[in-house]
Amino acid sequence: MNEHDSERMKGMLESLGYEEAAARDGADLILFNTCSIRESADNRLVGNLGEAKRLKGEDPNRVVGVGGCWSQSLKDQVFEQFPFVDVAFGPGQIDKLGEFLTSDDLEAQGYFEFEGFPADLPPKRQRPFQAWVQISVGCNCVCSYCIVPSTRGREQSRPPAAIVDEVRALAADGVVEVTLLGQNVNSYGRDLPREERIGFADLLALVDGVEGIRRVRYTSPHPKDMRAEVIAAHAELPSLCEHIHLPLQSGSSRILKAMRRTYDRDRYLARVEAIRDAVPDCALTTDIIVGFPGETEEDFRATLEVVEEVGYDSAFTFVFSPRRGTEAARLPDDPAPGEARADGAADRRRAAPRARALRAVRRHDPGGAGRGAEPHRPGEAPRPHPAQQDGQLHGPRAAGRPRAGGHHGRDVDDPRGRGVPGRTRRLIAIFGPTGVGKTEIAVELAGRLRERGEDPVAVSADAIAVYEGLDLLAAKPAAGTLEHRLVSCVPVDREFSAGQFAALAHAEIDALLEEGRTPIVVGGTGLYLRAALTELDLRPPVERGLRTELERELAQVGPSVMHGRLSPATAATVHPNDRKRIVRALELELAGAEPHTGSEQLWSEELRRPAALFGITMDRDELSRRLAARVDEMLGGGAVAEVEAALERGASRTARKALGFREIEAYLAGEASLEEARDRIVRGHRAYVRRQLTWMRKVGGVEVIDRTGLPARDVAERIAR
Amino acid sequence: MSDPPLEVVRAINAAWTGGHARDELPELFTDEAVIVGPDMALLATGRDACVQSYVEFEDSIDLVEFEEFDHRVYRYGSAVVVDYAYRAVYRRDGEELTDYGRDVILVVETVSGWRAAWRMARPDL
Repeated sequence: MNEHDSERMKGMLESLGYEEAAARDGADLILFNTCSIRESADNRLVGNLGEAKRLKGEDPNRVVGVGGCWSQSLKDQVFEQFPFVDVAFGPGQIDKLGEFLTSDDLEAQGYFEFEGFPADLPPKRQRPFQAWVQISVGCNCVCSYCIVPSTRGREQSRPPAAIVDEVRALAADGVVEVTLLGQNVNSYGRDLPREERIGFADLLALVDGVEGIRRVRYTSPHPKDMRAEVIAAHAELPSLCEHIHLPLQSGSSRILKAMRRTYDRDRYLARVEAIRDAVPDCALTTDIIVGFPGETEEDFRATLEVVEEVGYDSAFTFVFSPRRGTEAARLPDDPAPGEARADGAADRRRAAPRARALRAVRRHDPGGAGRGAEPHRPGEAPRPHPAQQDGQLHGPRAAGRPRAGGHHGRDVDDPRGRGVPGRTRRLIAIFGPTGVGKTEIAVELAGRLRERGEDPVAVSADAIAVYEGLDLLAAKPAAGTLEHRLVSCVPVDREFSAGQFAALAHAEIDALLEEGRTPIVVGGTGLYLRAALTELDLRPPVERGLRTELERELAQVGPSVMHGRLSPATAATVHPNDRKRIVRALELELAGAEPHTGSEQLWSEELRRPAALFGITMDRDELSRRLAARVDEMLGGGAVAEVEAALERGASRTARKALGFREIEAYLAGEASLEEARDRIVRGHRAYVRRQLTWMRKVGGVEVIDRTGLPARDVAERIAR
Repeated sequence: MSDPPLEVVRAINAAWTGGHARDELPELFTDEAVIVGPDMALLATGRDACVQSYVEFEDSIDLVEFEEFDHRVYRYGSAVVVDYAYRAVYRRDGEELTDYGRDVILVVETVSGWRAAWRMARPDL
């Protein structure tokens, strides 16, 4: 829905003579189209407004505008909290922006009352063959987690004649596919005057009848309004795609009641059965909220059961985020038995693994989940499936086929290629040995991506960079060069595992992709990279006592005896002299985990998100020189003080694994001179780099780039291509 | 390597938890800073009011323990949003209370250095 509004804003601004600026600093008008659906929208908007304030300070004639749901939810408070904002308006008030910009007197002004559909405004379509058509605004549902009713108001249906006229005009303009938009499309028409009142199924039939329209989609429907006649329309109307997005939200009737969804599990499943009876091949996609207040393991299992039973083609799974002013934001998060709340992040920690579990179920679905249409968020326009990107009529099943066709291949000559804004995003992973220059390459790459309209963010996959206070030892990126996630997010006195990292990384990556941004995963820690990119079954840490006991036993009886205790399958993958892996493998076996399977097997085929993998290498001698220089820079920059401070704060066992930590600790204890410590750190780095390179060579599906003699920008250019 | 916006947030918390809110906080907020509640309702407008809200809280409790964690730093051009969780244990009216919450603070660079410009306090999340 917001993307649709943005298209109309663009169209209107172009008709007023505005052009899109390459960068904000050069813009006369900075306009934000906002959303209130997700919590992260607030953070992002507030940050961008902070930047807009600076730009307004540089040029007071620059106009700053804020439109959309967030603006509507604040109304005049927008100006109180952000006094530099010139114009604010709610959804459906886009025309008021034009009124403001063309008035003689630019006094700050807010427009927050819905007066009519902005459908007559000229849109600027991103895909020439596809268009969105708004059929209603607002929503009469009272879902306890949703802010839409308070920002977009009660449902108002657009007259059918106006809709059909718009679709005809679009068809005449070359559009072959329309997506009907509304917060709750299938309750369409109930508020219309008696003389023009029709239902959603009737509207679908009218749109289907428009000459030139070959595909009709809609979003978002509500399961409670998925009536027999709408289902029948999918079986009967030639252009209506065999795809229904049926938001489940939860498989637990208890949680559905708390969500005020007005259907229960059985009623939902009955709708699915009716759809499958009428349209056996119909693709089904859904939305699921994980971690709703009070959700227990039993509730979650109920959701898993529904997911397995339905066998969705795709799903958008997101962790509950409370929205201000909603009923759910005030609900207590009653912990489930045995899940006592430890701190404020408890529900997030519970929810992330649950979201992962749901994704895992979908991947096992033989229907091909995750390979089809990109799911979309409630209240937002769907992202295009690759088949939609080029106007193909016969895409994968989840894209939803029209019933009649014969239109194989491309309908529209669309020359757009890679890197076009709006294409299905995938993440990029850059990895390689310590000191090879991954961060500088990521920064250069971000610049290239921004040039072609993408919004990159680095996600660090580094076991030490997560720690606060270990900036020099981890060689953390300089502030301001590129936004980095998962850096300095763990206190130095905390133990931290790859399993915990996986949960955080998956949540970050999913959120970024969902926001349409491009994650660049950067790291040299093999385990953390795999944790970020795969659904690696990282077993929970085994009790420390067990490990100590095994290590003591190993010291007494020797590695060959201990190796002999491993199962044959595991023993075959662990070297008889590899003490560390013998202990770890025994730990896992004693914990009842699956046999050890070799760390290099979990890679390309098991990526949880499509990714382009780039391994960076360099001539050993050159790398060696860079490593020595890096260690000198680290020590010269204050690494000794950093370690001293970390020790004072009770640095954890895992934090002390940072390269150089032990050596500096020895220096501080008077056990080595600084020179000796320095040499040991360099040697330690070189040994680690050898292991990294060995591991990298074994990884499949990676484009290896030897950057010997190459500046970072050239490597970035190659990756960008 | 220090991160100035993150340092501003830490300095704010160090100031009020150390009993120096009145003296140290004015340098850490912009003139037009605001504090809003979880429902975005304005709680304080302007530097003095923001500082006063900390001073009043500081004066009304005996702090036992304060911990900030799970910092997330988002950069938008020159502006930075720091979002973090906290746990505060304090005594008020003879009763020991524990608050959990998240703070979202917009930090901007001014001619005088980095300053907090906007804060959303979200207790009990």
